[in-house]
Amino acid sequence: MKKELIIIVISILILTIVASFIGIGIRKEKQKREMASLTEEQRKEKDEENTIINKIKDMNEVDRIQVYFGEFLKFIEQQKYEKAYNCLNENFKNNYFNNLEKFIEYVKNKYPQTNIAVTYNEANRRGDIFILKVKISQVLNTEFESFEQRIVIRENGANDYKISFQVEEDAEGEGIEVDTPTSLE
Amino acid sequence: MNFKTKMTLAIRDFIKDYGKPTLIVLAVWFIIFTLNQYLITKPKEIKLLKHDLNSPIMDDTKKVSVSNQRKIQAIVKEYFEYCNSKQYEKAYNLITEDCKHYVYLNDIENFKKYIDSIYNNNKVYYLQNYSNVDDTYVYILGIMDDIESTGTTGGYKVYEERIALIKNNDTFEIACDNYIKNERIGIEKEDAFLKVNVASKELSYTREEYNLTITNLTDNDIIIANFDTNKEVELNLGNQLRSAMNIANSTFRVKPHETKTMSFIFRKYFDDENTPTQLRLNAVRIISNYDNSIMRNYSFNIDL
Repeated sequence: MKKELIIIVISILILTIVASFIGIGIRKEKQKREMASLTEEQRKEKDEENTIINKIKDMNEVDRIQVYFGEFLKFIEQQKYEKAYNCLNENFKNNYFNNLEKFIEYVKNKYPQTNIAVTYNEANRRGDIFILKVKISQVLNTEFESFEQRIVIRENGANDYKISFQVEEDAEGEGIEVDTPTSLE
Repeated sequence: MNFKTKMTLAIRDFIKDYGKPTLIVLAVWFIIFTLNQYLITKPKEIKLLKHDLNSPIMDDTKKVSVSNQRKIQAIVKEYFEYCNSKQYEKAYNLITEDCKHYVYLNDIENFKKYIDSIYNNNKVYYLQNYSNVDDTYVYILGIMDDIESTGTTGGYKVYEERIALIKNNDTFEIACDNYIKNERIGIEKEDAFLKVNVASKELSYTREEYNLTITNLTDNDIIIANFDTNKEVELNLGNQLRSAMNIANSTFRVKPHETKTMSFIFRKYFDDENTPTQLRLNAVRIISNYDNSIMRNYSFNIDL
């Protein structure tokens, strides 16, 4: 009985090791096939996504939010308008840019087409949402009229975010009103 | 015997002798293999450094339990939705009786005015645990414009208040507008001139209001406070004394043999861990009926 038990245990151990190697082999084969089925551009995008995820995984929240906005501006600069458009919050899209053409027209008029520079002036958290106050300018071009803009970003996961932004400057009387009474009147 | 027959016999003998253990080994191997596959192919969750809205800002060691978190989130969501859709009565029914009494004077019209002053557009909210003291959980409730939909175009408003979620058996009730709760005290002290009953106190996030019933046992007027100095009424917190905030424009005077209720308000944060030890009436003045002079001036201290 004891001899049988030992044989069973050793057999299980050997087969477990064999199963692990088979599992690893299957996974590698699966990854190879997945990569082979992607186009060059898709492979590049996947690599970029992995790069961003590796970049942000040890960052604090504010830094991550700034990276996301940086990525959004990069899409605009690279004229990957559809990618930038897909970063937008759905309700925000419906309110201001219900089709891609409207969005393209807006960003072409608003942002520099190349060498976008962004300065982060403020970052405030409201629950799960961040509100950034940024200044957009163009590197080495003082003729470009820089402007301030508020950006709203919600992070849903690693490199998974939705953006809204202040579409036009505040009119007179408009702005931010924060009321935080701490005692009864 | 040919090879095929020998093989058949050998296999049959093997199964006869080792069939059961072989089946066990194969079954265990199959389970391990399947588990292995599942674990290997499961997408790796990336743990990001993230602020936890359920972790109290004041002391992150006193977290709300997961089951209480769920209940609190649910009731606040319900309260918010009623307020946002102006279902005043349903929202009013979720708040504590103490809050209805002290903050809204048991009048739902006052509550409606408060709701209308905050919820004037379609709003969204966020909830941040602030501090937890026994069965009272203080949160910051932020009510703001739907800035994700607007991108803050045209500006935006944020209103933040402290709310308290108070456990009542297995459910929670809400105390809003920075109010926490009423605490019964019921301590009485008497001397030859005064009888003072400290009935209760109203706790708000930044202050405590003590409700006193004072009986003048003399034939003369007694002045408790009239702001001759700002230390006439003090709350002893052990390591410091706090002066009453509400005596500046009032005279607290009791006529002969009169019983009167009075309240004294002190600045004190609900979660500051200071325990009041004494209420001090430092300048109790018995007034002459003839010339209004002070016949006697003494301290009357009530241990809490």
